[in-house]
Amino acid sequence: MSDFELLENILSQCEARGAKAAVRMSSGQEWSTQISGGEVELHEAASSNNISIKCYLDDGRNAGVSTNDFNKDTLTRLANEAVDLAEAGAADEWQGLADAHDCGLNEIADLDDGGEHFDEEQAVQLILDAERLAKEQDKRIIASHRSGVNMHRGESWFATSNDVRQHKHSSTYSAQLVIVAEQEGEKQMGYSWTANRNFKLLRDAQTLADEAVDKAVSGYNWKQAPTGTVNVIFNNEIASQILGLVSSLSSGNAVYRGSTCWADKLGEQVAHHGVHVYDDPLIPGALGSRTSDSSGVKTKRTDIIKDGVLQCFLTDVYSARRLQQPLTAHGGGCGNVRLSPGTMSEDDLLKSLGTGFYVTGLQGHGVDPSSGHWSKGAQGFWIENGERSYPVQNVTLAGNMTEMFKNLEGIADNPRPEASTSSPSILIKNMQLGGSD
Amino acid sequence: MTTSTVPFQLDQSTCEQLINHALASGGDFAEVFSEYTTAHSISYEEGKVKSASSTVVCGTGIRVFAGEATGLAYCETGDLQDLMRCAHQAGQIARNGGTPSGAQELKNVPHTQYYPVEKPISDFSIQQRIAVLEEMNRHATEADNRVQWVTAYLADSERHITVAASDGTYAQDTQPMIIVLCSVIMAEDDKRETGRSSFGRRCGMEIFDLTSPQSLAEEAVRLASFKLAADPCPAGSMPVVLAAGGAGVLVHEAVGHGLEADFNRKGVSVYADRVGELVASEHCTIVDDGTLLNNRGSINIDDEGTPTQRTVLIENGVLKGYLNDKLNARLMNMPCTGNGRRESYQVPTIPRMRVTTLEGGKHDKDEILASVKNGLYAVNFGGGSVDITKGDYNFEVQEAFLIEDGKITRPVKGATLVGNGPETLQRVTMVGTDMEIDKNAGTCGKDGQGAPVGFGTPTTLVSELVVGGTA
Repeated sequence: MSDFELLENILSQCEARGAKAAVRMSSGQEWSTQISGGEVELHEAASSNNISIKCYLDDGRNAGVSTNDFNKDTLTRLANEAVDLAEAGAADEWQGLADAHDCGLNEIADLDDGGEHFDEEQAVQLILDAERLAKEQDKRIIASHRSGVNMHRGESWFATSNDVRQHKHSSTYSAQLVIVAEQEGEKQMGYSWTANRNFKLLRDAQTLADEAVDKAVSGYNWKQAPTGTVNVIFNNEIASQILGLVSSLSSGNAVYRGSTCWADKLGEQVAHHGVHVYDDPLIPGALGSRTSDSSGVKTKRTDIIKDGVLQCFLTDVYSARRLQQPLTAHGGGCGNVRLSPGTMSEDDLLKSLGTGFYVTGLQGHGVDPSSGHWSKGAQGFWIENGERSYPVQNVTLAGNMTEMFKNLEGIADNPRPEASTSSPSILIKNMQLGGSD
Repeated sequence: MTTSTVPFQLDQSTCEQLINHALASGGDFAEVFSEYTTAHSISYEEGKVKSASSTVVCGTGIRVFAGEATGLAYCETGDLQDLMRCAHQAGQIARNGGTPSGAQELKNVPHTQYYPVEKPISDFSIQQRIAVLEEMNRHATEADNRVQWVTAYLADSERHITVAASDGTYAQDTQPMIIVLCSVIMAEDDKRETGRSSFGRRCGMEIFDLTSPQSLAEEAVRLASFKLAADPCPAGSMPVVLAAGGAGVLVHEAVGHGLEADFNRKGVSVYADRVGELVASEHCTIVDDGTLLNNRGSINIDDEGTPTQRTVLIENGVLKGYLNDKLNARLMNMPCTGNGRRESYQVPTIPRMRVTTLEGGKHDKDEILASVKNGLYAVNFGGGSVDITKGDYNFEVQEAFLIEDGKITRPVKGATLVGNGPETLQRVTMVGTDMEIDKNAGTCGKDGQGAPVGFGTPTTLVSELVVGGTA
């Protein structure tokens, strides 16, 4: 199916019953291979399709349905069910289709490589080489697990009752290496990954092997650090996870529910004055780039935090109307969230830390945007005089997100490559470490 | 919201045809897995329906094993030509060798019904379902004037599966599920806290014989209110008493995942090659059970058509075996325990837990608490995760109390707790008689696949865990 005919049939069915609708049809091609011990372990190839219908009555009553059963009877039944469900709902003045004048597609280069550079044999070779290089590099590497390479190419068609028509396509390639080291009976895991919209631009096997081996073996001879208040540097991979909290704290849908502790902080200092955070969904070739959001609204660059001051809430059509705030095209989430890098190298940032905790891994779910409470398992290295003193594992780190961003006093110059939410290494002061007595 | 008829359930002769075609290039084993799932949800906020949805997911996944390798292909139509292409594609994994082998004659796999449904939710109109949410919302709103926001949620699904394989398996199952959830946000001065309660079961609307909109609402409000009043949790290493029920998350993370066969076959789990060894204190007997009536984690058959069972993993501290699917059982020469599960036809089957429990011990709850000089009594739990290689795991505690001189004293709010699985199991020094299965709607994530699971524990004392508080 390569045109809008099917979507328009569904729109007509909803419209005949007095509803307006937005219909999206997606189709994807997937290919993935997992390897282990130099052999292919799992090979998967498939294509998938989905149709989702969101329908609205004039007073904002609404419902959504989706299916991958394209049987005509199923589609008719579901279009009717969408209207039935909406009719059973409640009026909501802010619900409805996006205004047609807000909708549109940006021109962004390199979101789809057309599959022309992709070669199945090269893809499998990349991850086989990475596994082999890892084992050659360090005799302690005994196995790999769920290492593999994946391809996804997707295409979607979007049509609404107010005449929006959008056709998009994209490609994503990724590879991950997960290895296990063993030393004197103690096992440790290391991993690395790469992802790109262009197959040719994936990181090479040697880089993947180096990073995974370092993670797997550098934790041996670890100790628990002592319980107490510490200054912490998060490496750029983990800092990118911390940066991700900004998206949930400033989400418009969390603001009207009161489920974020930044709900009443618009225009206020929420972070250290050196902190600038923006979302730029228009970067050519970037993983998080997108031409429009899930409601068809044309995407744009958004400053979220400037000089530590919260600039806006991230809104979709509903939350923008409800909060009477600018529409930032965040239906379906963020694009490429960035923390502006500083000028210091990570080594200099470590020197400025003096004594503290350098975090290279976090585990757990302990994040509550409503109270700001943040608590995780952590691992990394204890730092003395700006140098690694010993590896640390089996400790916890905790703080309050409101305080954490205010205490973000140092930013290095090394943004994490490839990630859609990307931060350089950061220094956060005064966090609580739980470890040895 | 009517339950639709199932448009394609593959019959035996079609399955045989597909299996033979999949094995045409060789291969040791071929399997056809077909699924038709319908799901509905209603979310109720601000005293009205906020959103409602209905979903249909259907497709057929075909797997072929050749040695340790698996070929997987799927398609989403019932069209025989598409299915045959899919079978051929999956079979390509064996293209470099092997002699074509035929399938055994398919035979119906007999199995027991562990989730009878008394009141199918499809018999209840959308208005009747909304009425449940209205009631929950009303109780939550009226329970406390600090309640700022209430989300009431009801979801149901019905998954029809057909599995046929070259080992002669032909099995079908219908797997119902209901989840009810209440979430509240409460505010006092400049503090905000969230409270959540949920209940998930494989049953129909008789779920409300075991819980009620009122009790779920009151529990969510109680928890948020508790957090508003509680002090920060301490940080550091200390003895922790885990309350019966939800502490099953510890068993799931600290032990369960590490005993899934795929990790052990490749030697990447901390428990690899340790069957027959003492891996826990003698107080620990750990079981994974798919037979608990109407439990969220129970399954009549797994997604490979193997009838479910009660599997003893650790008995009085000794490791008895792993959680196996067909592939790993064959390669490790161990019994298949019926733990092969897949989120959908699109993804590979992997060993997964069902309902994982620490069996009851001999100590009284009060005796356990009294034995602790200074420590933490953890009552309400959130999610967890584990690094199966090191065995390091974590889980979130929502509600806890300090234990001082053997007595429960101050309430303290949530924190992440971390420990090492094998170490923790050695540090289980007292196990209560009060075994309880958790009622929450637990979902386990592994390799990007979600699976409904259950767990349970009696009151349990772990002599040392690291508590991630801020005080």
